[in-house]
Amino acid sequence: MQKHLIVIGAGPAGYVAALQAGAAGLRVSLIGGHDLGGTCLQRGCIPTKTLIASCEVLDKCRDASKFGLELQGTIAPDWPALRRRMESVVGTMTGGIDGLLEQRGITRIPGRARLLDTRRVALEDGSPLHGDAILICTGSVPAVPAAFPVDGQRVVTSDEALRWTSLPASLVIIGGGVIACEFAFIFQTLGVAVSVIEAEDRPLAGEDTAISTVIQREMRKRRIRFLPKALVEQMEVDDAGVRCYQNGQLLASAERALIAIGRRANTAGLDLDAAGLKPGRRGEIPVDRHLQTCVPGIYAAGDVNGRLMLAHAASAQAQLAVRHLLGERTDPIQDENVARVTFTRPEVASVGLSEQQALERGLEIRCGSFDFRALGKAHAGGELAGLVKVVAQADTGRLLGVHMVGAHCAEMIHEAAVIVNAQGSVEDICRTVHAHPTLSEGIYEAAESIFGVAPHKPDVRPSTQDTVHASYRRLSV
Amino acid sequence: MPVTEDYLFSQGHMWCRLMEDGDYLIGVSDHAQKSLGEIVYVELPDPESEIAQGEPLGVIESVKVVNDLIAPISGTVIEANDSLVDQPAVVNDSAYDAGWMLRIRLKSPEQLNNLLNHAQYLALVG
Ligand SMILES: Cc1cc2nc3c(=O)[nH]c(=O)nc-3n(C[C@H](O)[C@H](O)[C@H](O)COP(=O)(O)OP(=O)(O)OC[C@H]3O[C@@H](n4cnc5c(N)ncnc54)[C@H](O)[C@@H]3O)c2cc1C
Repeated sequence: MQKHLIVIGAGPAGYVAALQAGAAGLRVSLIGGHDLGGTCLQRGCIPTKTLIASCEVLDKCRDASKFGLELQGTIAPDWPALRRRMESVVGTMTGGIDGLLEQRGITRIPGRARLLDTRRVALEDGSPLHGDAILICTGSVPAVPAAFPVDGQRVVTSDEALRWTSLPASLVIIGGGVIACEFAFIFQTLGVAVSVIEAEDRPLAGEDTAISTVIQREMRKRRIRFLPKALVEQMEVDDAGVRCYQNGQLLASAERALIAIGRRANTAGLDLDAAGLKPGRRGEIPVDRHLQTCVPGIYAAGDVNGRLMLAHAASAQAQLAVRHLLGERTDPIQDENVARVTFTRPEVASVGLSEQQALERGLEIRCGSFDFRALGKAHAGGELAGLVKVVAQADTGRLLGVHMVGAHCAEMIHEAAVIVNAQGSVEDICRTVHAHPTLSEGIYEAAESIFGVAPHKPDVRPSTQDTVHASYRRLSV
Repeated sequence: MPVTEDYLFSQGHMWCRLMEDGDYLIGVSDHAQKSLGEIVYVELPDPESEIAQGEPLGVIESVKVVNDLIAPISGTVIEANDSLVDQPAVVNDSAYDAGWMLRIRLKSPEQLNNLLNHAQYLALVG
């Protein structure tokens, strides 16, 4: 008899699992069909990247004269029109997913489900559904501590910010991670005066310090106010706006506030208990390397297992879980070898270990770095800021990590991702002739600078400086 | 503005110069400015922060490179030249005058002994 898979949640984990299982001949019920594409498509990756595309056009137009172009008339952001474009892109993609699910004969069930036992779930109307296996893909929701009075208008999370009907004159963003930084650049470009309050000493604290340094500088250039090592303990909200305090001291005030201090696994209301599952400290569902929970036949993929909180990781995990329950061979996903991208201005992308992580593991390493501004393509495109940093094992040259900040680097990280995942070395980069003129030449130059001499590196000094701190270069002229 | 006796230079290509009120102005040398090419961004520390001789105090970006600025002396920042934020290329036009970067209250006068006079500096970069 045809096996029945129940998938709860239709985000990048759930709908991809459903497509894969459907193609493999399983009967699939996908619950959560009211929110196809999940956080990623409806209120995450795609809406924000649509906004960022508009910001890029806006910046280019503002720089028109630098490109030898005369802009006749003015250019200004139109928030309602930006939102319409966002909604239209989301609509197109939602329709696309729906069509794919239809083609594979997947039953889409709107509403929320909860677990009844290890093989049954209750649908929103209470009716039970029995499956041979259950895949939980309920994703994550913004984390909001009780001290922050989210009202959906003045104090918001990313969910509501995307639905604002107008933009504020000023905004304080609490948090300095990926989502916080992306919004900081978006709103500042659209004319909002942005302050960012971060508990760590740098933005994007999960990235290599060389990357954070550049992003913090780019924030300064755009007059985004960055407050490091600050913790909002108290917030006052009234008609005058929002004021954030630490120890009774005013940190920042603005018309509105955006809380972006992280996301937590969405397991509330799932009745994990009923199936014998216990959430971890942050509500996440613990899984093994096959994405299986402690209950055989129940899997959890995507944000809900708290591992990576990235859309492409969610889809990859979901595919792996489906392969495992089909009894196929699976290669576990090495979390650190999944590429990470952040759409700040400029973009950030990385894969593998940072210099700091490699050192913490006691590895003997060498690092090489290269500034994009030494490349012709960077000058031609008027996009100078940024660098590539390559981390390799000192004795074997094995590529441990690549970290980039600069224009288009989210597109360029996959060369490095392929090599890191294949356990290749910097040699693999060096002996591959990179096309000219491209920004990818920067990856080649950074790799070359580890063991040899990068042809286009301006301040070439055969020293250990790069091994210690790639960002620490003295004025050497 | 000609370089006079009161300009002292570090090997890190920065100058400092005694002002009438006893504070020091610092900036980058004309040689540095020329070698860097068009300067597009200068990041300086805020007033009241401390800088230390031989340590990075900020960042200078040109169309060619990004480099740390290395403090020629130790002391407290009294004022930063804010006009460089919008017009960093002033450093190219006037490295020794309008392109000054910081006004510093000197901490250890003996550090001045580590610096070079203009002739010595020119010999170094010559
Ligand atoms: C503003 C923002 C920008 C982002 N940008 C990026 C980016 O550029 N790149 C990137 O990789 N990641 C990005 N992310 C993260 C990305 O959105 C998530 O990693 C991804 O959506 C996780 O997919 P998922 O399927 O695990 O969960 P989700 O996308 O959260 O989907 C879970 C789905 O399950 C549904 N659900 C929950 N409970 C139930 C229930 N009981 N019954 C039925 N359905 C239920 C939810 O309604 C939702 O539709 C961003 C996130 C945000 C918020």
